[in-house]
Amino acid sequence: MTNHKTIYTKKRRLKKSVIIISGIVLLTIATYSTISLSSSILAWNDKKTPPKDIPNKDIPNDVVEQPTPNDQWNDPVTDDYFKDALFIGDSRTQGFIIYTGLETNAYVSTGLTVDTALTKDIGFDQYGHATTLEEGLKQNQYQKIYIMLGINELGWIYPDIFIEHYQTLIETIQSLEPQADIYVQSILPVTQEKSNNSIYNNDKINTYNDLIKKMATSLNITYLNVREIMENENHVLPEEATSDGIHLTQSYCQKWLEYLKTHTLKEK
Amino acid sequence: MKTKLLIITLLLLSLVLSGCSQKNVEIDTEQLLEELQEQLPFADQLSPIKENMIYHLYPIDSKNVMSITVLTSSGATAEEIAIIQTSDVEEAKKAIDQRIETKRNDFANYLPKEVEKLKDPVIVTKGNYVILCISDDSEKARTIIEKY
Repeated sequence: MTNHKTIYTKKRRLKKSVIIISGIVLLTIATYSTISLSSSILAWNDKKTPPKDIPNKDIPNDVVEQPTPNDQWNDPVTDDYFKDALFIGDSRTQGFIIYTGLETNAYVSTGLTVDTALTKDIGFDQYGHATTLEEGLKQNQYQKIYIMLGINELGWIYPDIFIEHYQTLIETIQSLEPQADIYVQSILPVTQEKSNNSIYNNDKINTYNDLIKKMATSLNITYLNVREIMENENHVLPEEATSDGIHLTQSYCQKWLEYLKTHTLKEK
Repeated sequence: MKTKLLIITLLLLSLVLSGCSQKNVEIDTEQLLEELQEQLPFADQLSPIKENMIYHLYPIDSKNVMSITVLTSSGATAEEIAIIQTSDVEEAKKAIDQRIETKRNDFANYLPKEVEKLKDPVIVTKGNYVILCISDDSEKARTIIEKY
């Protein structure tokens, strides 16, 4: 009997010891985690500095090419020049705005066309403007307006219809923004491969650009031949400029910006 | 009885303290971005965008943000990665939802096949990080992010 009692007592003591040791181990683990938490909170407070940039090869230095001396163009301008500008365009212009990070104003939308540009509701407007171009033009004044449209209209049968709508759009813009310098940009080419295999055809782009150039003359606005800084010796978009034959990489969007910076109208 | 009480108290205390430690998450953003871009089948080359532009696309109060990085497609696809370290996780999640909705509207009539990627975008919250990944392989994206 005494042995049983002794064994029972020993077992109880052993059980208690195990429980206490387990508890200490658990507490230790939990406490270690808490100490780490405290250290990180202090470290985060100390590190409340602007986030580091992720280096990327596709963001070149802000190098502006010096243009050939020309009576028409100003000396190269800086990014600030575009703060009172408005960009109107489709997904290519949208990519340009996003990839350059230019502080400017934009009505851009994937699939935008010359017949929908004024009235399309572009939804959430991250630039703080009204959600259609027409509303935006009525509410705001811009000093320069850059337009590039046409890539989404390459499937239209009649080029005349395209240029009629484009002209109507620009005349509306002129009436709402009489103070603005309007620049209509050439449609950028696509790659040879894209041109061979889809409606995005470089011959059609060339036809449209000829019509756009004539329209610019007749409306007394400036035609900017942006494609000349993009195209290769065969007058197509190089493969390196794009992943899908149409939309530009970040470095080619920078080339586009450089072109605009070196082609701003002198005041008459 | 006392023993049982002791066990329960110790267990509860451990659980509470361990739970607090989950907020202590530090993510190597560069490494995560590198792994996502290497391992996932992105159709386009994603490029980083400047911080001022990020705040145009993601309506977040910059005062809440400790770090923010966004890599996006050229416009050829709906692909995007965003890593946001913030003191207001709910605000970041709401901004991400809004960004996804904008992309759905953009691509619905333009490139409908890209809308597929937007049906199951990966959004993961880890501590004070909110991570978005839009790609063709949501399962793999989630697996990679969960490792961090």
